[in-house]
Amino acid sequence: MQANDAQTLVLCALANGPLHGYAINTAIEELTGERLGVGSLYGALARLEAKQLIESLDENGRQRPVRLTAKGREVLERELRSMAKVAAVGLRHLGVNPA
Amino acid sequence: MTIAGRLVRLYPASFRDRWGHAVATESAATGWRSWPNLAASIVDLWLHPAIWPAESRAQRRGRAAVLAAAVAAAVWYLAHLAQELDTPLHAGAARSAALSGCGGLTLVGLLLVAPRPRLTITAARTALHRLAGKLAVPVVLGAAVVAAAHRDPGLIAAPLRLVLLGCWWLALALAAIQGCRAVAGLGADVLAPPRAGRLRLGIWALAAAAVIAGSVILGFAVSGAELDPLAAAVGAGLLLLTWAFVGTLRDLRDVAATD
Repeated sequence: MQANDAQTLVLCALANGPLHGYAINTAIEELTGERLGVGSLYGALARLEAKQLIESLDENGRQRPVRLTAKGREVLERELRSMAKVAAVGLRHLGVNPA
Repeated sequence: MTIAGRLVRLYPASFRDRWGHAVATESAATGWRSWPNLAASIVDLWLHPAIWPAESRAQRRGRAAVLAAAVAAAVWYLAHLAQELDTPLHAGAARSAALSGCGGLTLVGLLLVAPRPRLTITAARTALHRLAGKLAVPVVLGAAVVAAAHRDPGLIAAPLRLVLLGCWWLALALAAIQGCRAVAGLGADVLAPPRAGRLRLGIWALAAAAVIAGSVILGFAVSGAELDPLAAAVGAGLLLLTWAFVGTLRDLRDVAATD
């Protein structure tokens, strides 16, 4: 996965707790400044569910929120640590002090 | 029905049942700007059946097997079509040992990925009924072409030749499509999906056959005195189809990695 990968963004959005599709996209917009395409968002949700990294909760009206599974939390943490390590090394090589 | 609603109906049924309402609502709110992304997503999902919402891992494997068989049928059809038409390829590469080997490898791959029928009377009856219903039209069409060609061999040279050839290739294409649809529609009580290892091995064999056939045909297309555009297009098409096998193998690995 990569930092701008739709699946990583969805996992990041869900790190705070369960959300439904529209709210996930709003959280991603707050994070990156732009929303995912509708097809990309739900394609990513289908992939994450198939990998058992997220799971559905009971329907709330016509919306069905999803949340991270334990495995999803573990995978997200590993990915973020890996990205942070790469970012820290890159910034150090650029002579920039990581915030 | 809105255009967004029509697009949502193009998604695979299991995805539509699970996410269709949310996709339609958000797409309607976004307007036409969401349509290209939606169309790309529809194509993407049809090429990755192993990630559709499923009740079991076996169901995912069954869907992956049908996709592999459908892509293998497309590979066979394109390669066969290119070899049989009156082009330089017909006289050159068509009889090569490599392409014959690809046919054998494809057969081995299909045997490996094919779901196994349950050995019960009810399952056999259901399978035969469904196959007969789906394959009736292509079988009748193909038989009619063969009968017409044998009854009056003069037709082969007549202007009707093109019509007969068109019907023959149409019958083959319909048989491939309907055969895959028939298998896809049979439930777990009729067919047992292949085991994970056998499925992966079969897909690797099919992918290898597609790569070899594509490379041989493409090599033939560019190695002559002049470029053979039809052979080049078919060779490139076969290599492109290999991505469907690669994607399926990756999906199976990703899904299995979390079990």
